[in-house]
Amino acid sequence: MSKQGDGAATPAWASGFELVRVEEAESTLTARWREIVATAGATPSARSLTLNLVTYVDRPDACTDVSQILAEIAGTHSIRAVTIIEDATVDEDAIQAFIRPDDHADAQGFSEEVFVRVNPRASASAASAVLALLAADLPIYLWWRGDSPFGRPLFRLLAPLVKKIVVDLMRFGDTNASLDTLRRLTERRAGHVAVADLNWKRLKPWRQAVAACFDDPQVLALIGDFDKCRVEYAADLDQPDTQHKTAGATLFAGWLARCVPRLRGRVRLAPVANAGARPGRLIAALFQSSRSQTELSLRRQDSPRQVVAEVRDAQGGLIRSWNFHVVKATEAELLHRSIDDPSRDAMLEAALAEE
Amino acid sequence: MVEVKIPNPFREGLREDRATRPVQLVIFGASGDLTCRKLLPAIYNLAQADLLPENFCVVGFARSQMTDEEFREQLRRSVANSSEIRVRDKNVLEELASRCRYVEGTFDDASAFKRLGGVLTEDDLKYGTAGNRIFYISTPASLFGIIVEQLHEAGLTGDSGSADSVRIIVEKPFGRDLASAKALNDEMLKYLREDQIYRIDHYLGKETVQNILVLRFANGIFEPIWDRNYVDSVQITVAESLGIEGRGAFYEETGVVRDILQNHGLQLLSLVGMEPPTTFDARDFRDEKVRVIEAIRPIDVKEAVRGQYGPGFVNGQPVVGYREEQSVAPGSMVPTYAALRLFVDNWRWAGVPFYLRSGKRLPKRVTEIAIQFKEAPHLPFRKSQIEQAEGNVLALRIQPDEGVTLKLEAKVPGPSMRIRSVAMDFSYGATFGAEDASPYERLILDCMKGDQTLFDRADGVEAAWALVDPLLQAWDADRSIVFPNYAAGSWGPKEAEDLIARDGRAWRLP
Repeated sequence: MSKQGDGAATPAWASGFELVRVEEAESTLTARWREIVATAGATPSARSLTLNLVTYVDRPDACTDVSQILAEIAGTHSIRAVTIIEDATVDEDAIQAFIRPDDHADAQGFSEEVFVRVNPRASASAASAVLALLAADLPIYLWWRGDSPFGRPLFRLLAPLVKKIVVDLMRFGDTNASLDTLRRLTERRAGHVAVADLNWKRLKPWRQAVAACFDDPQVLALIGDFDKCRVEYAADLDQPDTQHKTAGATLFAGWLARCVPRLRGRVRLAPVANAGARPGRLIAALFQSSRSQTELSLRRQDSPRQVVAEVRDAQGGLIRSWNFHVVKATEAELLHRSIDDPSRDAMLEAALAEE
Repeated sequence: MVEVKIPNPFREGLREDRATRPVQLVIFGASGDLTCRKLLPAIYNLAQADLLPENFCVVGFARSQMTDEEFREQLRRSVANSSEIRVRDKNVLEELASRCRYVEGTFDDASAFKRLGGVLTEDDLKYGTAGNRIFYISTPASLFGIIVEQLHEAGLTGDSGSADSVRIIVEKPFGRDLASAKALNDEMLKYLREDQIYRIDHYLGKETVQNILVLRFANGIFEPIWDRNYVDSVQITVAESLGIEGRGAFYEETGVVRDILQNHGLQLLSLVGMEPPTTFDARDFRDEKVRVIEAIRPIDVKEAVRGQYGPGFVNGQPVVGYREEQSVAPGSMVPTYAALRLFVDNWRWAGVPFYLRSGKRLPKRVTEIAIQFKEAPHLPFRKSQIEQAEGNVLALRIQPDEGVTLKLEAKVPGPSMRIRSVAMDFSYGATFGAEDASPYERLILDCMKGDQTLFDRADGVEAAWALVDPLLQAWDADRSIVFPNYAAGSWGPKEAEDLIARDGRAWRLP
């Protein structure tokens, strides 16, 4: 680390960035943009950004990951990314801004990244820096990459500005208590702010698999028959703590009950041992009919990564089967999907309400 | 198998782009050029992007002798050779190939259609496709009628109670004149309902063509000035630098008006000229499109210019003239270039000329729509050298380099008052990054979802033919024109310059 003049050393993640004063960040970005245009030999007259993405990072050591994720996002969205890093090693009255114009951009469009490094106790100055750095007239999305934002002054200052908040339930602890945090977020400002949860997005392959089974007319015909459901999630049965990581499974159960009201109160969560899965991950969903004894099972398999679904009759005869390939989505892909859609996720809210 | 008419509740809120309804896709003309170059790569891309339903299979039907395995090999070759493949995934390809079968037969052979029916029934059971079928007719238009008739005779067009289980996609050209278009529509409508017929014009599947609608109807600033009060003229250019690329026999029967202007050219005009539809559903949208075409004043032959390219240079390379191309008659009178001045006789567009031009062997490949706005009514810059500022131009670039450019006047920095035109540019690729899906992907997917919005309707096709038919007849009757009349690599014949110059305007150099 090399010492800078404003109270902290330049961190390793800032390699390739340019340290600037906050008030000069905008003009420096403009100057860099002109340089890129001149180098490329083209003469566009507009920087067509599509949104402001404000990111909160609670740990300085996560900055390298975040920087890489933002670079991936910038590959498909022309964004102004402003990232706040809380770092206790920075002086309380100091604030550092690092800029990185998109050096992969062609001359006609590019993204811009500004990392603002502040002391955790300097929330007000961090918020004011963000305000100064936002590109005008574009929607503001807040990616809160930390634990619960409630009670955090920075969140209180930023939240009123934003159109969408992106969080990850796993970072809130992945327990039922974290669902309360998510629910409170969706209820803020009478639901006028959209909320996306990366963990809910992780459940999408399971939701797609269930939906795909019921696309089959023969299976759809059975939907009124299914009156019980068991959702299995991974846990270390020797470590009771891991059995509390039920947030994902609970949300999934809420979704099932929302889609088929007959299943309300009849979806049972069951922790199961599974060495290949992190605690809390879904392992299986089993739909059962008391009347016909028909069963639809969806079960995770690890190599290759897929969900195997089968419908069997009362005698165990196979009626239909599917293999749904599951590609593990990276955090960047989940974030990408979250910012691609500006609207509220009514199904997430409904699943939370069922839970 | 029991067919259930209730919606799948688990689909709600999934916000998926994918088709979910189980379906079999049957391709007639399965060994043909379009199937290999466009359809099979499009189907693979849909599979790779996970946009196909789980319960899905493909059946090819053509005259060529081929086994199931050879058809699968054709799929693999098509994907390997296609430049439109975004991600090459062997597992996806093999999974798709395993769901492909082939039926050999001629299009008038009832026994072949019976065999096809047998294969479809087997696959219905195997893949749970529940009798839902899309028949993609990728053959010359002259075969559409017989194929539909044979499908009907074989009991494959569905009964009225489950009509949406069978859909038919047909490729342009839909006829070669008004009479043949009507006959074709009548023939198909004998066995099918209009809502089962998907007439594909791949131009409407392009993202940038659809963006015309978003630009117009999702931005409040444009619609108030999108009329005769502010718009001076509209220029639509569909230029190709290529010649006929070995398709001499086809082009001799077609020419530029049937190949481009009657369909793509008028599609673009209708999107620019249409009134805002109440909704973006198929009926409202297509109603408005047809209304614009019907409002176009009959073409005055004196306001139309035809041309045919002679030898010249394109991109620095010498190229032969049209009459020297393979399978072209030495004295061919087929036009490879046309320019039209059209008027849309309605309240919005009264008096605003729409200039359309399209040609082969022009200097570059470009499709664009340019809205030329009127000049500022008064320039207040006294004691300066500015006497006139050019009107603003909003150029919608369809291909290549898709995007939108707004030409503005700006002051040149310095003590004196000087003005220069600057272009404010929105580039699709640079702003959104992601690669566009091919139009065929989008349109096949729409058909699977039962969305006809981006497909032509019978009355739309007939309205377009009714407009160009008299011109084609007049040109056929008048053979006094001397061809070739423009050099390959130029922007067309001098008469086209004169056509627009008479109005005090000039063609843009896109």
